[in-house]
Amino acid sequence: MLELKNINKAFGKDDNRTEILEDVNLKVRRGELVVLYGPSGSGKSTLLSIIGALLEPSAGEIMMEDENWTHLSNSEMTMLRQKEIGFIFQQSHLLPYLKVIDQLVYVGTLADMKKKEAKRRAQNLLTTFGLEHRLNNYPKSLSGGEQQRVAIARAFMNHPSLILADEPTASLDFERAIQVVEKIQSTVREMNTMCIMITHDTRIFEYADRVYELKGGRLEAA
Amino acid sequence: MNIAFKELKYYKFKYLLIGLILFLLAFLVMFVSSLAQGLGKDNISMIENLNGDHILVHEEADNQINQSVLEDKDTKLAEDNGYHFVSMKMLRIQEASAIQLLYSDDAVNYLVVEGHEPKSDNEILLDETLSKTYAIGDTIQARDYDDVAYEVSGFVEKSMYAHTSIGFVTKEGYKKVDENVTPTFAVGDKKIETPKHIDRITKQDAMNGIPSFQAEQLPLNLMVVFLFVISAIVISAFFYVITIQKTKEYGILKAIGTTSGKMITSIIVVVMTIVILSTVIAIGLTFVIGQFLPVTMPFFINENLVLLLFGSFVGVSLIGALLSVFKVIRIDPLSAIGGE
Repeated sequence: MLELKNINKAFGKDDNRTEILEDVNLKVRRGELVVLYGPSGSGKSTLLSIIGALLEPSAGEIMMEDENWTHLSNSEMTMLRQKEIGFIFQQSHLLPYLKVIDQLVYVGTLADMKKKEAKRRAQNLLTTFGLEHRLNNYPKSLSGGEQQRVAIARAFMNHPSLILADEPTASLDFERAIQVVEKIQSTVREMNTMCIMITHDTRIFEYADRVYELKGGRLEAA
Repeated sequence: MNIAFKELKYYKFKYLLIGLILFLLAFLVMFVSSLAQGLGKDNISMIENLNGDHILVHEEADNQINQSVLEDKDTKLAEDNGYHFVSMKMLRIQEASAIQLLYSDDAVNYLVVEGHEPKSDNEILLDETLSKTYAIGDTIQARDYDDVAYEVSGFVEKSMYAHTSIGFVTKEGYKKVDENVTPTFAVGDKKIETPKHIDRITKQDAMNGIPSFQAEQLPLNLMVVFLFVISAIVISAFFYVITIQKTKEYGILKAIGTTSGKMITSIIVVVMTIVILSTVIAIGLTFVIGQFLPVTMPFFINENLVLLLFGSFVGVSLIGALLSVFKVIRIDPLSAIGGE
């Protein structure tokens, strides 16, 4: 279980100090998909960055199972991003110079996976996401939906405990968006991981186990 | 490592262009410095071939060894210390402008590349730059002495002084222009004390004594240094701009858990691959061109200098790449997420 306890985040100092997050509490169990939404500037991405070991909170604690993820060194944060967290961004953010299969294999080798094993796992994942015919293509020759599916497969590559998705469907049409979210949901359940997703699309809410609204830095159950 | 080569392969056109520019710069550096070396050889190759580290010259010659004259009282001291004498005299000749007529017993080394050494007073051994003007068996006629002429017996590799070819003759041959065979300077290995009117100088002093030597070397070496500075700036600027272009990619790499060390390695592998490939090709081309240039062209490839230039290029590129490395370390992965 992932547990956020009284997370606070402020930027700036003294008079310029702005509170982005105030006393955010959240629990996510394995196999759950939790959706966050809120107006722009409400701190959604900041919260996701804090959970994703990209930013440190000003106060509060992040507990993952029995581990404390709060005060980590830069290299410990890098290790977490490598092994425990899978990111899915608004755009696919693939590396233009890697073929589809290598996008996943690279992430695998970063986490010390054997090349052969990484290749096999990448192949399996990409097949699950319906991309088996695209393994040796560069991202630029893929459609937007295919690129996003590669990015999602990449996020699942290292058996992460936690998937963080920041508006993963924003660049897709509705039909594609639903397919992508269904895929994320089923994979999260299958692999027994957790997923926190930011989205504005209310039609996606029905796939979530719980939905929260972030308003003025505070998290409220919707 | 792997990812660096994939990147090189994918952006091959971009990196090919940079490689091309580096290649041209490196080639220019190699060419200009070989030209400087070649011009240098035209000035000093005879001095380099002197059989000893110390040279005795008359003080009034001002380190211009061909202007010196050793008197009888001085030769005794030199002889006692195992010094060898060189007699040298400028001789204006028909066709070519002038040669340095030279006689010595074992003070100047040379390598015969064609023909043979002078055996009679009639024969002369010339520097190979004159092989365009004369062939073996041709007669060269002095302009100032009607009765002085020599027959070319062969050619030697690089033996010049102040842009003038050396013409080696026998003692009898030298007597045609100087009955006494007056010693001009002496060469030896002993560090002896000399009277006030005699200077004991090193080879380097003798080289610097040639008025044209430093005048030529200084601007050419300045060009080489400037080319290095330009290369450093070009390399830094290129890789800095490319790094800025790829800020997003580095952000992604950081977000998915690539360590800074791995990213720095990848940058350095990319830079080194391009720099090493372009300079090696440039060096290769310089050698090929050196093979085809006529002997009259002052061009000399100094292997040690080439190694030094290669090392400097690699060093300069590493410094240039460091600028990008600092930038990459500071990249905030949040910018890749493009959130609020």
